[in-house]
Amino acid sequence: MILQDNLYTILSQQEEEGHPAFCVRIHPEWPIYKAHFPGHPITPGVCIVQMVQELLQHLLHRELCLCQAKNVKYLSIISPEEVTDLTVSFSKMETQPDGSLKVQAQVANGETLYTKLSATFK
Amino acid sequence: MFREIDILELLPQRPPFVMVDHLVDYSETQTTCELTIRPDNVFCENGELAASGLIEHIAQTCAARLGYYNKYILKTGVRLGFIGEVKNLNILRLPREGELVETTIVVEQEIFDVTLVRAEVRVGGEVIATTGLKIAQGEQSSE
Repeated sequence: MILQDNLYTILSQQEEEGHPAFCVRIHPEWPIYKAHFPGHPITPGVCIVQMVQELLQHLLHRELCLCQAKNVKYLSIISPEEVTDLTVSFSKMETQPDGSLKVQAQVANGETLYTKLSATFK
Repeated sequence: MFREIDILELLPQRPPFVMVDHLVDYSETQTTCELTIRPDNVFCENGELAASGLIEHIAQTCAARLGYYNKYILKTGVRLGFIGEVKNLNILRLPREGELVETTIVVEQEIFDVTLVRAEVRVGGEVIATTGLKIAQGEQSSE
C-alpha cells in the first residue's frame, strides 16, 4: 500500500444499503502536500484513484490493478486545510466474465461530492 | 534544445512529486515528455509504477506543455494545474523499474483555462497506455 497510513488512515468500514463504504482521514502533514504544491497543499487527483484501489484491495484481500477507467471526474479540490474526513463508497462492484472487477465509487464529505469514478480493476 | 530545460522551471510540482524528467518535444498542439522509472519513485510498488503514478506522469506532461507556453511564449509564470477528468483510460501494462517511458499528448480542445488532450504512453515502440485528460489551470505558482 503506497498511501494507506501515509496520506490517509481508515477510520471505519461499513455497509450502506448493501454497498461497502469507508470513512478515511487524510493527514495534512503528509510530506507530499509540500510538493503539491509549495504553499498550496492540494490532494493530487491521482492519489484519490490510488486510495480507491487500496480500499478495494483492503475489502477483497487481494492485489488489484487499475486497467481501465470510463471516467474519473474531479468535481471539487480536496484541500487538507479544509477537509480531512472523507467517505469513499462503492455503489457498484461487478465481476466480469474475464475475472476483472467493474466498480463505481464516490468520494464525498456530507453533501459535498469530490470525485466520481467508473473503472475496471484486475 | 527542449531536453536541456530544467523540468522544475516548467512544473509547479516539486520533488518527490515530479513525474517527468525531460520535455522532449513541444508544439502548441503536441508535446512529448520522458520519465525513467526509478525505485525511489513515490508510486513504485513491486518493481512497477502504479497506475496512479502513470496518470500523474501524463498529467505532468500536460503541465510541462502549459509551463513551456506560459514561461517561454507568454513570458509569465508557471501556474498550478489540476486534473478535471480522466476519460477512456486504457492501461495495457504498467512500466517497470528501469524502463524509459515516453508520453505524447495531442491537444483536442482548449477553452480558456481548460485543456482537453489525448495521450499515448510508450516504452520503446510499445504502446502501454492511452487516455483522455481534462486539465484545468489555476493561479500562478508561488515558486
